[in-house]
Amino acid sequence: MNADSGALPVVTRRDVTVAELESLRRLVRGIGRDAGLSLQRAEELTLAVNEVVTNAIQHATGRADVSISRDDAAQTLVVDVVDDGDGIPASVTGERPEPVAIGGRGLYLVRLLCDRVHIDTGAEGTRVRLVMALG
Amino acid sequence: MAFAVSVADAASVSVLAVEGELDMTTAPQLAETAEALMADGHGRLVLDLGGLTFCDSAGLGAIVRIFRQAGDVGGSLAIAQPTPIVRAVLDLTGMSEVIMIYPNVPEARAAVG
Repeated sequence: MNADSGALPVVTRRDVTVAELESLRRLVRGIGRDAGLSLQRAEELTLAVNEVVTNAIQHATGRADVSISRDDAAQTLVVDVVDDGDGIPASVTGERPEPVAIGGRGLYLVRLLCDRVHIDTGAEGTRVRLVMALG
Repeated sequence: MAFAVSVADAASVSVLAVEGELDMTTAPQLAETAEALMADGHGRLVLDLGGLTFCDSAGLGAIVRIFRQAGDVGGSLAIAQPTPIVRAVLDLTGMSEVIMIYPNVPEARAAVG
């Protein structure tokens, strides 16, 4: 069960690896649409979740736990992505990189696309919470 | 839709039709296809993104890489008919300020040809 009051657990995927990225996107799209997000907003959430999980896969331990819940009281859809890597380096700012930079767009897009983003990161791992307003 | 890159070779412009979803698993396939073309002397490229339903930062990185390599070999790159979500990320990242984007393949082809 989700420990946060007022939040109804919807679905959890543990140990998501690169092999499950595409099916995870399908899942997030579907839940987003079912929760009432527009096509565009559901796609933006899907991209944001994809970026955070990809970061965990590439820079942490190759896997992440994802849980998606709907907070009816707050009228939000909440996605938590948790990994037990070494944490996000302080050098990762989330600023927009130059248009012709090869990389560094992930966290920038995540912050831009979601209504709220909370990042709790340290040597024990990283928890990223993405929040989308419903209705 | 399964990811696929197909190449149509016209006289001077190569059109790469990209279908499916571009992410860390499929982006290398696009980059390698374009690199092989450029290695063969085909530096004028159009990326037809009409069938691309998803593009993440890894996909954007591959597109930037192709754009820069095309410039390095004296060629150029244009993007044709991106879907709305892909167009949105190209705009948000500023990439549409530096890479030419056209509503259809013929216009993109004319721009790089």
